[in-house]
Formats: sequence, structure tokens, C-alpha cells
Amino acid sequence: MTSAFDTDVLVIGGGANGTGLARDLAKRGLRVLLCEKGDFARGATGASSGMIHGGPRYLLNDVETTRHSCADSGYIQRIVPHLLFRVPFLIPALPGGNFGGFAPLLFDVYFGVYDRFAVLKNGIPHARLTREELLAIEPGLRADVLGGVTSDEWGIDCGRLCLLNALDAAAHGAEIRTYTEVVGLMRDETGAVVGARLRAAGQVEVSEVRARAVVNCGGPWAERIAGLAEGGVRLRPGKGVHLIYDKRLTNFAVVANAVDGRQVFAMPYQNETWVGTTDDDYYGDLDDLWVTQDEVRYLQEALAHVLPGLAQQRLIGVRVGVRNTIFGWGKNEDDLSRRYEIIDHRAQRAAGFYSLVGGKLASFRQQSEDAADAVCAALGVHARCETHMHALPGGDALPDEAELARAYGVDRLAARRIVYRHGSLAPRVLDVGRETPTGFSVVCPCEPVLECEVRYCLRHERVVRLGDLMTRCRVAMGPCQGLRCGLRVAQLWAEERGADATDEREALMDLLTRRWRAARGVLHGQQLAQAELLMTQYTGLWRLPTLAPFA
Amino acid sequence: MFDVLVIGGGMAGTLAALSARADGARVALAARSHGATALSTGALDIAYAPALSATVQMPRTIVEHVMDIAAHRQRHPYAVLGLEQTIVGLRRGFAMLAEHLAGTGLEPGDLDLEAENRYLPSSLGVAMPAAAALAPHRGLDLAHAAGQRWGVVQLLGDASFAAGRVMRGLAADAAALADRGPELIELGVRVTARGGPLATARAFDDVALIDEVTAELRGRVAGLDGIIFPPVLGLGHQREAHARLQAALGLPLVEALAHVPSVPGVRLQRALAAALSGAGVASVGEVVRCQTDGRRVVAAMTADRLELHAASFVLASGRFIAGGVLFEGGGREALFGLPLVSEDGLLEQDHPLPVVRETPMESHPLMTAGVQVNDRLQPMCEGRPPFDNLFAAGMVIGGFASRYALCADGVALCTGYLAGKAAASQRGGR
Repeated sequence: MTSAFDTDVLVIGGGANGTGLARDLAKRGLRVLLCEKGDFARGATGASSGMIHGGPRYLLNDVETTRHSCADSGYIQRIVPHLLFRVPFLIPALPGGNFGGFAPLLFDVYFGVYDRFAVLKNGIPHARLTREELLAIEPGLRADVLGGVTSDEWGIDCGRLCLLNALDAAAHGAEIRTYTEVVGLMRDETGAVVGARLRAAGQVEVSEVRARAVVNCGGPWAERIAGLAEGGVRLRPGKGVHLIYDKRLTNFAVVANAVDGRQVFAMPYQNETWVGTTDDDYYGDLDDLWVTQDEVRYLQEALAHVLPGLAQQRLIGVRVGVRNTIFGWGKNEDDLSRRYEIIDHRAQRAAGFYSLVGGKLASFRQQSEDAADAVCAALGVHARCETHMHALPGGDALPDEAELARAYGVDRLAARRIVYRHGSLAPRVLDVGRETPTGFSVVCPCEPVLECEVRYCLRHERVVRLGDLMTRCRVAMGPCQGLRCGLRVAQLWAEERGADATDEREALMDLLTRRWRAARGVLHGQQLAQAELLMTQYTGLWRLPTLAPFA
Repeated sequence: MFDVLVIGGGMAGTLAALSARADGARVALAARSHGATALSTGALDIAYAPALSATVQMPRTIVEHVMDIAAHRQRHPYAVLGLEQTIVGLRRGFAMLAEHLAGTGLEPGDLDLEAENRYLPSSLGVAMPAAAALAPHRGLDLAHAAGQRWGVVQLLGDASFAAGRVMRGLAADAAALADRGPELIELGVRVTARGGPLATARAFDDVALIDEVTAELRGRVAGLDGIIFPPVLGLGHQREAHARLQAALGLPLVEALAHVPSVPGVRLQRALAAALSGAGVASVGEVVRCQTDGRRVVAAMTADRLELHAASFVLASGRFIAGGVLFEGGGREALFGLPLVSEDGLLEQDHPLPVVRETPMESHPLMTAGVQVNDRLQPMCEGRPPFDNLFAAGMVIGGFASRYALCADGVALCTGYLAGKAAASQRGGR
């Protein structure tokens, strides 16, 4: 059958929802095109802590979200077991807090309820700890802590999760275009959406693609995208900030109450510690998020209240994003529901156009499934969802890191990181190291990242710009901020791409620019010295930022 | 009791101490540890101002670059000092450095302000403009090397220097500079470089390794005009290493400009320390606190609880890398709590993060934070110098950053020389 359509479904957005939906539809046999205006996981998904929990917080006012999230978290863990990390939570009760001395007892009861959902996501039931027990496992806690409870959660590498969704979609025939923005929607005489106008980043010309259905998974940008068809999507965008400290300061996620009573936490993440998050209504530019000193201070003060030593530690960056929370009036940000919605824009005369909004990372797969069901019903496709049945690439088996380290002669920690990121594909990554004499050398000493992994990512993981590598294998994410790895990575880019000197400098500039965006909100103390060192080196030896050829 | 106490042992502090000493003052220098000078690339950045836009005519000679910088950046030390003082400071400061580096193998040559910047090969394959450079880095000007043939040495397993990248980058830059650049030929050398540049440089202090390299290269260098090496040919004995290799091969050798950790920077820092002790400058420990008395600085307390009195003081404590300027919550100069100025104006002390801009391509005022000085190099506070006998030199002065105009060595030489002279002239002034 020759079709007037170039594709069945155009999915807009490369976050968890968009890539999850593309994968779901592709596995059902539909032709799918996914367009993302930047790289994967650059919006709400990328700024999230990666926690795939039910959110015990929602137990009070949104128990459905808790149940949903716990159930889907269980599925997600099954399809991508290598990308998970366990997050043991400590919820300390402090003097002067709510409920006084009864707090540990009340926490105990509360988490007893949560345990009923926790089994869905492979969580261990909570335990109640005395003051002495708490201080024994986390001596950094305030000495006058009363006691507390534990809770068991899981986290996931969001950037790689989206990438794997996209790669799996591509393996099932989907076309994935990053750095491609939807700038307009095509309508027929009835108003139905029949395609979209696309523009590649940095290009002027616009191309058209005709699709039987268009699904808007634009996250916080969903309002703007829906607006292209006068579609009615209303969000209550909430800006969230995570602070990133240069090392693991605790082995537990520690919950704290901020000055206004909100709950925040400090969480170990790979080699770092994350502290977050804020939740504030945001009306500014979604493409240029700023972190204010007040936000940094608010989180620092909150954590210092529980872990007094934290305030003196070095901040190396922030993650900032905007939640695509569904609109609600008259509630403060934390009380807004995290439920999700699939909007059929037929009501606004835009048949064939859908928006998937709201929701949580922990239930992205369920959200994608529901959206795919809606699209398939409209297109008369009867295939069932299979995204919970098959593993994502690399998720089918977990190789033994010690064995790999021996077989390839690499450090065991480096092998562990490769297994964490690539699962059963780890041997393929390590095989690349045998191609060059320096294939197993450490490119990024902060993490560590080996040369073979950088080359593998450049070849197989849709790295369009050099900065994309940061979310593939974490180069330039550590305390040195790209001082040591930047040059090596740019050189590998040039080798793999056959790039000339100008391309190589532009690639490095992209990496440093992205690094800078993450660091610019926390330029003080030692971090400022690091920034000066980094800038001086790259100005003094690369003539950056004056890339222009000599006049 | 000293005539002058200099705080900071980098390029600016050293020049201040040497120039005060040259005027007959009794001088002590307090240094905490290595700062930005020990990270030097090997080039001496005096003045290079990239064209602000395509329509602006590019300055040509070094003095034109100085004028361009002063004209466009009103808080830059060159602008504050004025052209006449700046030129005097640059000429005499440079001559003083050259005099004290004589015989070290790091001689910086002559400074001709009427000449154009030369273009030196960096270890990352970029032709870097510089008015001068330490001796090991000076032999090849890529703007004037058409028709020449140079070898580029790749040590086996050296991940910090990639001859391929250097050749590719230099070819592109040289073509843009002068239609035709030198022809570059890779020379692989089977001498293993492990453990980073400093460890490799230490290994080259041993003549046996030099002889190994010679043996590897002999017979492969015929027809070459010179050889570019990674910047690792000796740390403590670089003069002997260079001389031996050069004599054996009969060719000019040039070390590429270094990235961090920098061998040229460590060599330079050691040479400066030797110059200070040779000139009779007393070395005292880290200064942690200063005592002031109305309009004068009276004494400095060291970390070992020594109380040092001096007639005048030079603050050359560097910026963020060295810790002379702090930004924690609010910003201040570390020792006296002096207010900070950026190229955009005063930074309010208790107002954190005044301006943090989007991308590294753009100007970034915070990176230019330092103390404000008057044309006598006295730090300023609320429109006047709070202390009559305190002078500042080098990166602790605000209003500039090397990333907008390559000038950090020029500022250090010029302000160091002038601050030292001004401090020495206050002898007996109390």
C-alpha cells in the first residue's frame, strides 16, 4: 500500500514519555518518527533525580499515583536491571519537628502503609531505628536526632533510559531525529492534524512530514506545542533544582525538612551527592533556566539542618528543570497531583493530535502504554503493548564485572561502571578497546571512563554533539569539569568522525558550554578556582572562545 | 623589620620583590604555595586582544594591542595605569625577569613592543599568539614558517600529547595566518611516557633517556628545520637536556606550550624562587593576617605566629586559583577584606553572585573580580586608598581576565615591577 503519509505516528519530545511511547508504538509494528529539538532527556526527565519510587509523599492526597508508580516501577526494573541503583532512605525525626517525641512512632505507622505498595517495586519493608542505630550508620547526622525509619527505593540513570528506549524503538523500525524541532503542524480542511513542519537545529529550511497521528510529549513545552494547533493544554510548570556536590557525602538518601516544612533530601548518585529539590511556579523562558542564589541557599540550609557538615562541601553544579504538572488552581506546588492525562485534541477540531502530559518518571512506561493504546484505537491497530515483556538493550543479562575486568585487563571499578551503563553489551564496549593501543586508558579520571567506552558511545549511541556524551558516559560531569577529559574526548571525536581542527574545537566548545550551564549557578568557593583554571587553560592553549580564524 | 614585605610568590610577587630589592630595599616575600604562575603554558602573554567584531580592525603590533585593551576595558590595569606607565612597567619588568632568568635555560629573550605577536605551537595544536616565551618554547613562529619542515615527536603511550592533533591543528592555523605553514612530519619515539607530564619530565632529567631519544631520532631528521617536542624535556635539568639533545641532533628544538599539570610552569616557579634567594630576598612563611593602624599597614602575622613589620607592603596574592580573592556567600579580597571590582564595576560585598552569565563565549564579569587600584597601584575602598603603604600587583587586581585578552604575564610584570618600586620608595616614610 502506498500511503499519503510518511509515517504512522510522529512523536514530539525525547524525554521519558516520548521515547517510551516511540518504543511502545514501534514494538506494536507502527511506523514511528520521533523528533526532539535537543538531545534525549534534556527537559524534566534529565533534571530529575532518577528516583523511580511511588513517592510516599503522595500517600496523603493522591494514593492512586503512589500505587501506579510502585507498580510500574516494578516493570521498569525488570526491563532495564543494569541501569538501576538502590537508594536506602533514612527519615530522621528531629527535636522541634512535628509530633515531637512521637515522630519516630508515627513515621513507623506511616511507612507501614507505604510498605504495602513498596513490594510492587521490589522494596524492602521499612525498619524503625533508634537514635544510636541511626548515628551508627550515618555519623554525619545531627547528634540530637530522636530516631527514625528507613525506606527502600530505586533510582535509574534517566539520560540512558531515554537513549535505550530510543535505540530499542529504532531497532523496531522507528526513525529517531534529535536536534530536530517541530515548528508547525499541518492541518487539513477539517482542522485535523496531518503532519508537522520540522527544522533541524542551526538550519533555516523547514521540511514537512505527513503523519496519521501526532503525539505531543513535550513535557514543560507541551503547552507551546499544543498551541501550534490551538490545542488546549494547561500546565502549572514547576521549576525544580538539584544541587550537585563533588563526592559521595553519605551512603544513604537522607530526608530533611526545609525551612518552610517542605521535604527535601540528599542522595548519593554515582560519585556525587544530589540535594533536592525545590518546586516553584515558573513563568520564565523554558529554554534558558536560571538558578537563583536563593534556591541554592534554601536547599543548603535545609540539609544543614540534618547533616550539619554538608554546607562546607564543594558544589560542582546544578540540575534544573521544569515539571509538566497538570494545572490546578488554589493549591501550593507540592499539593498538586502528579497524575497524568492523555488529551485528544479532537475537541479543539484537531483530530489526530494528542498530548501526553503530567505523570512521573516512575510510571513513564504505563503512561506511554496508555497513550499508545489511545493512538492505536484511533488508527484501528489492535496490537498489544509489549514494553513490559522485553528487556531494553543490554537489559537481558548482567555480566560479571570481576570476570570482565580480568578478561580485558581493566580496573574493576571501570568495568563495574561499564556494566552499569551497558549491561549485557559491556563486552562489546570493551572489545572496542582492543582496536587502539590506548583503548583501555582512562579518559576521565573523575569517574573513571575508558577510551573504549567513549568510542563506543560516539559510534552507537546517537551522539550528535560532543556535549551529548555527558549523559551517555558521564565524561566532564565530575569535579574537574572537563579540564582533564575535555581535550581527550574532543580528540577521540575528531578521530571517530574524521573531523578537522575547526570541527574539533567547536565540539569541545559544545562540551564546555554544556558543562558551564550546569556550573554557572554555583560559582563560588573552590568551584570558582576550578572555573578560573578551566577557562585559563582553554583560553591559553586553544584560543577559546575566539574560535574565529585569524583576520 | 623589613622595608618591603611582598605577599605572594608568583610572577607578580617575585617581580615586586626583585624591583624593590634593586632599589636597595630590604625585602621579604611570603608565599603560601604554588599559584597560577606554576600553571604557566611557557608563553609570556603580554597583550593580545582578539578583534571584538569582524568589522573592527585587528591591532597589529604588541603596543597596538596594549592600546586596544586599554581603550576597550576601562578597568583593566593597562587602562588604569595609563599608556606611559604601562609601557615603562612592561619594558623594565620584562628586562628584570630576563636578567634573573639568565643561565637557567628559560631566558625569555628580548621584548620588542613594536613587533607583532609571534605564533607558537600549543600542545593542543593551536597557534597561540604571544609577545614572548621562555626559551624552550620560542624557536618556531608559525606565521613565518612557510616552506620549512618540522618534525613533531610522539612519545609512545603519551595520552597528554597527540602529535596527530597537533599537526592537524597547526596546519589549519598556519594556513589561516600565512597562506602556507610549515610541513609537519610525525616522529614516533619508542620511549614510554607514563604517569603524566611531570613524571615524564623528571625521567628526562636523566641523560640516559635523552640518549635513547637521540638514538631513536638519529637518521630520521635529515632535511628538517626543527623538531616540536611535547613539553617534558627535563624538570630540574632542562637546560642540560635541551643542550645535549640539540647538540646531538644539530637542529632547533621547540617544546609545545603546555596544559596543566604544566612542566614549564613548575620550571618557571622554581627559577623565580632561585632568583629571589639569589637577590637576597628573605623568604618567610604564609601570611594569615595583617595588622593595620589607621591609614597604614603595620605588620603581618605568619602561619608560624611570626610578626613581621615592614614600612610598606605589596599584595600579590593572586585571584581564585591562588586564593587571593574569595567568593563565599559574598566576595572579598582574602587578607584585608578589600572590596572587589569587576570589569563592569563594583561587586557588592554581601550580595552573592552578582552576574552569572549564560555561556563561556560571553563575557563573564565574575571571572574579572579583584581589588580596584588607582594609578599608583594602591588598592581602593570607597574612592580612596585605605592604606598609604599598601600596593597591589598581578591577578589580585580586578577588572581583567586572561580569557578576554591574553595579558596575564604582562600585567604581572608591569604591576609587579611598578608596585615594588613604589613600595621601596616609601622607605623611611613613616
